[in-house]
Amino acid sequence: MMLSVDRLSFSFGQRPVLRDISFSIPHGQMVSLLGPNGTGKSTLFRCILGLLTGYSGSVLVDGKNTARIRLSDMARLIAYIPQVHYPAFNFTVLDMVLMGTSSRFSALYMPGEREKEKALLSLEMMGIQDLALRNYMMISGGEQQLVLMARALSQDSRLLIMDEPTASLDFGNQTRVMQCVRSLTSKGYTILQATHNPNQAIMFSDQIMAMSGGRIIAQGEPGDVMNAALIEEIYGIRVRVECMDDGKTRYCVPVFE
Amino acid sequence: MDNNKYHGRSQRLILLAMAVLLLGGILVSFKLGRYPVPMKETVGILISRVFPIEPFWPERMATVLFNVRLPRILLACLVGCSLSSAGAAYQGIFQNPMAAPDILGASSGAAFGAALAILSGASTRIIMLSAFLFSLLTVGLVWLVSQRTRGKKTLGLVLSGIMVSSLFSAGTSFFKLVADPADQLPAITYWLMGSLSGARMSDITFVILPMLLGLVPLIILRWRINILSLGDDEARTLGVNVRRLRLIVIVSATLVTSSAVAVSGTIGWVGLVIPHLSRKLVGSSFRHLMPSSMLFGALFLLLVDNISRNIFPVEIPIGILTAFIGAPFFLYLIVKGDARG
Repeated sequence: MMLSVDRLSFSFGQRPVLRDISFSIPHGQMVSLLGPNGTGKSTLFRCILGLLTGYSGSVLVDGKNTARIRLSDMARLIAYIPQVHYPAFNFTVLDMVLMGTSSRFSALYMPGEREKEKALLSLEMMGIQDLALRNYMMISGGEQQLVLMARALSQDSRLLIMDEPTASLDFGNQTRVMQCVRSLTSKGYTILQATHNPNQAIMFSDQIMAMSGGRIIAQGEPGDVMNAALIEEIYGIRVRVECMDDGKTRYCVPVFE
Repeated sequence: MDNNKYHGRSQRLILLAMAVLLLGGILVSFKLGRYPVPMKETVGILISRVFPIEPFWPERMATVLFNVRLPRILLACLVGCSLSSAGAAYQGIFQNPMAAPDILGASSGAAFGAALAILSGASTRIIMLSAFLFSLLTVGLVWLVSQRTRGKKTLGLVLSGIMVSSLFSAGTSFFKLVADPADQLPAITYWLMGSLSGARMSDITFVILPMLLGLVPLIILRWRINILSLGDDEARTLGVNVRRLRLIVIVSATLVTSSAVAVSGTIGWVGLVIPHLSRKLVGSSFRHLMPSSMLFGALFLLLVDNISRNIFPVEIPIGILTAFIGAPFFLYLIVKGDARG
């Protein structure tokens, strides 16, 4: 298993946020996590990434308990891909990606030739090597997301955690970015992403997990778990789940009375 | 990878050009002043310190050069280098291109310390020491307060910086109120304007150690400041020990600022404007931004100090001149809306 979370619970003060969460993700799978706003998806990610401590239960990455791993070693186990955001300074794309290599050398050094090659290779894997010398703030949102993914690749960790990677992207870029993400599983990467788009979850993932009220309420292959009842339970709206292409593609649409 | 464009060659050329300009600027500055020293003599006197050559200049010329101009030139360069590198460092850790070296109260603490020492009739040396120590004390206090704040740590630092600063500024105002208007009050006022006049070699020996103690870590850790500027969570997932690194950078930038302010008074704007201009020249990565801020800051303050001591019949405190240059530049930034650099 690439990621095993076992009976994880977490509270902010007296308020429980995560309740007894257990799941595991095999190597090379892409898993989508669905859940309403405020249900604890980001908190769960922050626990897994080691940004929050003080939870009960355990998080194992590739068999290693993350509670006993130093930050710099963690960076080589898990990479975090945030939503597209504006950094305070206008770094070049290459510099942004180079920052992913930083856990590989001591704080007294700077990235050298080896790291540069690594960064350029990561950009190439995302198909955006031409952007290397552009300014990060001058490229499109979709390209920025790909840069953040290239940075994660240059980190050399095999588990990628993404918090709504396509939240601020247009329809075309959402699909392009998700195809890129999907293609990474065949290169040995394991991916856990939070998403608000059930159709994206159905189309691109091997497994779907649904969270509500700080618990995992469903987990399994998209064909098995995605039905109207589950989506209604998560989001509180009425939906219809339809099939097309002889059942190969499923999609859900809201129903209006 | 035979392509040179990935290797930051243009940035290195710019840094080299800055270093050459700075050396040239220093050489020319020796010549400038009320007592004229021709270039040939200047070079001769400087070389005579290393190689024994027969003096072809009057003794007085060498005295002016070594006891008056050399300390002043060195101090202008050191203070400029310190203020702008500290500004760049603070901008990085606060993820804000508008941060300046006095953001954590280093300047108002130093002003308080200087005013207190002037009020108690201390010597120049004690005034300097008091300014330095109170500057460190103020930032230390800000740090301690910020550790008890909830939520975002950098915001806590900035807010407690503002509060503690205004507390010490109020203290300085009180000292001005009770100071003897015949001699103490003008001394405090003049100190607050910031000036390099009367610089002596002993001033340099006083500040050089704390300055180097701060400048060296800032240069060594400059790549990691890039990562700090992405924010705490992202930096930590990239494997950076955010708390430790931020503390080291703050301590270094504070040492550098406090020692600069202690010898020169409050010279504003350098720490804000120079990192901005540097970003335009070499880009935002601290790999080149930090050394560029240092060289450019030294060059800038040397230039302004030359104006301050040569252009006008009465010397204008350098703090006033930097503000005259800094404020219009700041307005220009606002109008252009290009504050991100």
